[in-house]
Amino acid sequence: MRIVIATPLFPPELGSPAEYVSSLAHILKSEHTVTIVTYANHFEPIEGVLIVPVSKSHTLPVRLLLYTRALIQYTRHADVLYVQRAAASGLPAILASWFTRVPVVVNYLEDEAWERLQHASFEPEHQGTFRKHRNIPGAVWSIWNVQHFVLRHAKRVLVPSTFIAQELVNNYGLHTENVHTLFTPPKKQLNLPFPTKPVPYRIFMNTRLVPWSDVATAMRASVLLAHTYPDVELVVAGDGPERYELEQSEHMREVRTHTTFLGRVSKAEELYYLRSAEVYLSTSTYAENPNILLEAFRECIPVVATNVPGLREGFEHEKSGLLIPPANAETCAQAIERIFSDTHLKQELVTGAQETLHTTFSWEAHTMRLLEIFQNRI
Amino acid sequence: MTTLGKKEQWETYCAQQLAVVTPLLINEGFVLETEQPHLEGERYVLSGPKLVLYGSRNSDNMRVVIKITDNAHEAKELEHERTMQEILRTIDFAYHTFHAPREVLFGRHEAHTFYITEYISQEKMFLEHTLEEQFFLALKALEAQEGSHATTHKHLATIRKTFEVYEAPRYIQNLARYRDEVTTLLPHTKDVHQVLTQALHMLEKNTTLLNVYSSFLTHWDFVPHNIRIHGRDIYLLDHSAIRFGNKYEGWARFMNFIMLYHPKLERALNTYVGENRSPSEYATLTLMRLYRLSELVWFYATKRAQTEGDLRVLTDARINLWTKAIEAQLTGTTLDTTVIAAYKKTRDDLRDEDEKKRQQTLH
Repeated sequence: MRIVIATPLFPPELGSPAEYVSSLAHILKSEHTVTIVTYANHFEPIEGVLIVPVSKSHTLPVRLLLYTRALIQYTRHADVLYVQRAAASGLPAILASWFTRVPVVVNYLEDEAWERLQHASFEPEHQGTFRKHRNIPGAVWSIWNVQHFVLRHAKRVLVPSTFIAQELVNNYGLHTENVHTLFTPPKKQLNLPFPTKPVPYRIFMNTRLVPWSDVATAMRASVLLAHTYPDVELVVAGDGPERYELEQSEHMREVRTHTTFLGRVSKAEELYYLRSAEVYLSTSTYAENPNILLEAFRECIPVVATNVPGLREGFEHEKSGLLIPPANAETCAQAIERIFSDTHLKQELVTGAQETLHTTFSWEAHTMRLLEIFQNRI
Repeated sequence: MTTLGKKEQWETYCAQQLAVVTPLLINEGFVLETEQPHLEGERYVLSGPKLVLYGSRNSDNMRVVIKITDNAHEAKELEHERTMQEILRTIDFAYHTFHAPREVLFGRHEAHTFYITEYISQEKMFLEHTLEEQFFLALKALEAQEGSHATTHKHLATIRKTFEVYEAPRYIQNLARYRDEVTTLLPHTKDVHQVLTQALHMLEKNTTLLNVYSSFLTHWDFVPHNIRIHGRDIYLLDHSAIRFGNKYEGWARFMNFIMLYHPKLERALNTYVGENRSPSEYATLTLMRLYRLSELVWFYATKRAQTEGDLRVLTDARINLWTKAIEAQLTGTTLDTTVIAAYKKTRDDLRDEDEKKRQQTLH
């Protein structure tokens, strides 16, 4: 196939689309013709892949114009135009497709208008509420509208969970047959320059400290566990608006006794703590997709996670992890205790998670399904 | 100027300045501490006409760091540092913000300009942490810098007037100048000239790589004494050392420095980049290490004329050490531990007591 990938970010830029596109191009290039169109002044070349940079030094309207022109030029003989994110690359992609008739497939990772708000530290609500009520401040109004326009005009929209697929159908009025779930493979595995020692009864979480992460429930669970396991330790990596409340407020003092807050740390440090833990825990009351669990699957750390739509798609209860009801410290503690006390169960969950990782979340599974979508077989 | 002359001159300058600024600061509500480590040791060779002092605010006894000068150029630098800090606080394209000491007071009184910031206390010095802790602290601070990449028209408009922007040509021009000046200053050390020329050629051959990783925020003096660790937060000090340049410039400075103090940490960081980032990133790290090492050789070559006695011998030992470090980078090897040990012995034998005391407070 002749595949053109339109991405706003490409290495050396940081960010998920940059890393994803680079990995995908490395995989696809052996059997397909891959061209990448990106906003960049400089880029990391990939042998066998044509990378077309559109300079970022121009003003926004000029950049969009040049990007659209590049897409028209390079998609003339392409089979598919695969767009990362709907706004910055999506709009030029839809415009280009009107000229070239090439089908546009959009990879919707998250709501870009909401992401902008989060970056500006507003973060009034999670994406689900944002989509439903559409309280869209003026600052991101244009991004939201562009995104909506692109999603409606794309031939296919790919999302990282069936939950988001349903959300887009219900709240943004997309047609069910146009929205497809394509699970995201885990990020590149990091190598640490020193070994990690396992720490008995350590529970690890990595999450933004926002109300819907419900870290307070995890903290209460750790206090309950401490009756049987005095050395239990809950390690929380991440920062956010709830940090002060959780870490320093007086009324949380008693439930804080077995918790360590790391704040924002590097991915390497997260991995270090994850590897040292006995259990990986997610107590979120809202999740868009199961991606946060994949690192634990890969590192063979058993998972306990809340039974909420985005997360539960990631695994099967009792087979590759333990599901718990949201906001219930007692059942959370019981599930963790089962893992602490039952090595057989622990091994079973790890084996199940590895299988899930291979069958559902691997790059092989991802690429195969992506190509099926490109070839219009779905 | 002889060492003795320069040192005496610095001591006289400090005494005169302290006599003037002490009542000035009292008037502003601050009192100076008795011990002032940043006036001692080799500071007289390294510092410009500016005092860095410890003190406290009378109203609440808060410990502060006071930078004060009556030199017009240094005053501009202080103002510039302050502007940089303000812009960094509001920069909207950074993925991660990093902490900086809070400003307590900035002002002028007759000829003096002063910039007073809170003192960030820390339980332990950087080098007192375990290897793992040091590694993750350094990585966190380096990744925070990498998170700011100025690429778009809007980004560049934000930073252009305040920060220096370095791309490949500037690094190459600088290195060529370092090489030429070292050749003039040290005419009898052909090996140094040769090594610097090889480093320059490496950069010239890899201009594209230098550009690919340009326009990142980088602290070009990112070393343990310019960071403070409070709880789990890292504070970057000396914002005048921030510019938009190669992503690996800060890494290079840190790794070259830490090679002397904790070689295992240097190797851990080197392995981390080698195993987790692209080959072109690893190659860029090597290029920046060559650049920063060459700069060290140049720096000590330019200071050599101001020294004599033990400090002259020590300066020569430093030039020799960093030249060997460049050779190691050029051949893809690590600097021999016996070379490092021999240098450290020379350094410890030759450093005066004041400098030893000052060093203890730094890392």
